[in-house]
Amino acid sequence: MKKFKKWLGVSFLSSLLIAAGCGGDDDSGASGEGESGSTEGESISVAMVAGAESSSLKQLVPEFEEETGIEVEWNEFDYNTLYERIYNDLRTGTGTYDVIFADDPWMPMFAGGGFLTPLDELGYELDEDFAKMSREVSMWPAPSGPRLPDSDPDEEPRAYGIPQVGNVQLFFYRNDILDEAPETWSDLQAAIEENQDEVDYGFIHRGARGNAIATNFNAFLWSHGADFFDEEWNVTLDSPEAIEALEFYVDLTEHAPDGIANYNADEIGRVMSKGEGLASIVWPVWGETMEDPEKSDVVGDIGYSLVPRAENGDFSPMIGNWILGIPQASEKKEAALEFMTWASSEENQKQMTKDGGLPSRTSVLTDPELTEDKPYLEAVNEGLENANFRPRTPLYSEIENIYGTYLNQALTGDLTPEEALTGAADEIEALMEDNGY
Amino acid sequence: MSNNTNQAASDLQRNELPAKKPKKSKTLQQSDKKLPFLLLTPTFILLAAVTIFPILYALYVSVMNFDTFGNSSGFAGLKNYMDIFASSTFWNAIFITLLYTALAVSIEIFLGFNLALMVSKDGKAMTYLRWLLIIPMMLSPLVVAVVYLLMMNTDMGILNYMLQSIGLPKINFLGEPTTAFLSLIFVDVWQWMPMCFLIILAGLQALPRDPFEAAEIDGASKFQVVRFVTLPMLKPIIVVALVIRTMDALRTFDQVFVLTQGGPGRATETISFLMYRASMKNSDFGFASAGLFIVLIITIIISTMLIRFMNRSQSA
Repeated sequence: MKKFKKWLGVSFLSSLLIAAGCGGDDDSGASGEGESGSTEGESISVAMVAGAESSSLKQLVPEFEEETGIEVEWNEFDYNTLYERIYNDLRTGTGTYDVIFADDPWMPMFAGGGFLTPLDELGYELDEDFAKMSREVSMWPAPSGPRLPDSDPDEEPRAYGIPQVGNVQLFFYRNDILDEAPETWSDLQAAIEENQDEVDYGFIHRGARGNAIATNFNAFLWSHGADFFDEEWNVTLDSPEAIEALEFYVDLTEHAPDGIANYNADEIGRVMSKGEGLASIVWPVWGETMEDPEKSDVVGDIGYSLVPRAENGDFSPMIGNWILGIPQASEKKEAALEFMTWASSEENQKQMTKDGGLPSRTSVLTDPELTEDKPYLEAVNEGLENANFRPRTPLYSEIENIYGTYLNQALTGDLTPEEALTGAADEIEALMEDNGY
Repeated sequence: MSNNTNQAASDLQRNELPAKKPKKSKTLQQSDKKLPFLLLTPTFILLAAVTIFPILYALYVSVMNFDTFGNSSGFAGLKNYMDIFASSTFWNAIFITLLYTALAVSIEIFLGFNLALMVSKDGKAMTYLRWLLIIPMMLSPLVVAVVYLLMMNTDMGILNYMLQSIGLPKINFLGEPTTAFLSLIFVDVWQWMPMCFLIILAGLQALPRDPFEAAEIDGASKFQVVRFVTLPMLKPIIVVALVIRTMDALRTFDQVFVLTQGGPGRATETISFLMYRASMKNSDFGFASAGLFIVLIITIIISTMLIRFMNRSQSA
């Protein structure tokens, strides 16, 4: 009992710390503006995600330190921990980090909650070389889609971050089996039926509960003309188009591996790199794995393209950019901005791309010198032009959990697609109402 | 805290002098009563800081409202508790957690007891087994879960490869609700059965020899010896293992987090995982605190029952 209490105590100590800092962010941010001029000799602390998305930037940091005299304290966390660290830091206003690396669905929480510094305050403006959708996900309020309840409908979107990694979901397919990328979902289905004997599996679902399957299914949902909400935040997930999308998605399981209901990105990466799958929807960084002879049996045999669309729908791959931002509580905003502009500069992004990173600038994505070695860049560029973003609300994490649980149940066959989406719609509707939407 | 220590020291000094005179021994007795409390003060303070205060604070949080950004937005009364009682996901998580605990712990105790019986007589086997079995316990549950995630992959994992190579059908370890639930129990048993084994083994070795000899002389069969001599004498030890494991299993989180994320569907969503999501992902601290309070009460009830059972068996 005591043990349990202690555990409970520790877990609540953290929430205590969070709440204790709630009132304390009023005075933050003031000190950064007073100082002007030299940032040399300063030290900034950055919070980054562990993995391919940031490792290429990490390699170049010593150059930045030498050039500017600003010291960079590099902190790296896995995806979940990163969110918790940043969120706690932002809410308590402690200013532990001067630069944060945020996945774009976190922006409504971070920017919408007023935790990040609007970059125009520091005299920065996003230039047009950044892909259009990348710019949009870095802004708040979102330039399109419904706005939060109780918010000013005429508020001008401002940039709260600089898009650094132009992630957008890609369609990977075996180009040694298929002559060209399937353009529509029915093309894909036909290709799977036709090549049953050539390859073990057809389409590989990323079917694990929650974020995994939600991320995977979104392109199906959108390209069928369905969406989460209408312009008034009414849930539209149980629309006939959405149900049709899910029915198709579940039908594809016929030629998928048995264990997909627990498949995440790693599993897909392994099936695809071993050459057992015909096609899948994957984040672009996996392209590096596919083209690495040490990790892959299909070097050169993978084609990268736009995620297919429904017959009468539009291409709508899901965007998932990584964005650099400055917490309100940071006391070294100038140096932080200097780091961010350096990181997102054309020259730096070019070098990063050579090292296996993913750029967000159109000029880098279309650089002929790079596209030759990195066959996926072209598809990323095309993807970003057509991309869709996830609903801009801080509730998205909870929405995704509900939606991702029902989708997963449809995938295992526990629920029919219609039951799953109706259930998800009802539950999300209740959640939205509860929160005043 | 240093103030207190100083005070304790000065108390000591003040009382030492008079203590030399036998007539004033009353003062010494008085200081004897105070001293233990003074020495315990640091511990109390620590306990208050890490246990009592957070629990009270959690109680406070559980009656507060939080907006979508996680900022406290006023007093909620019992709303969070009402929400929880009305939430089907909460009851599902309670059911999953209790079933998981009951199954995992009983299998662990059963296997641990039998294994301990088997080797307690054989010194050599005991040495090796102890070595072997201690390894799973030393590993971090997270590491164990990551390794099992690879091994239990339905299509590429080594477990299915082995099953198929001896002609058995593939098992969809983590991709179906029932098997995923059982797979989690399997991992839990793999890791924590050794603890039950070691506790029970220690108990077995500490038992007096006479009752066994007496039973043997009376002509008891092996089964009868176990049933009527070993088990009753070992009961308190088994209950200790039971209590420790039950409290641990009730807050299972690591394996769920790595292996299934609560899926497929909600088949493996334990209460700890549900509340982690509510607080860390959805910023609903009120809901999460209220939920964990209910869990605390459930744990207190279960462990009190077990401890009472232990006391009864000790006095019997």
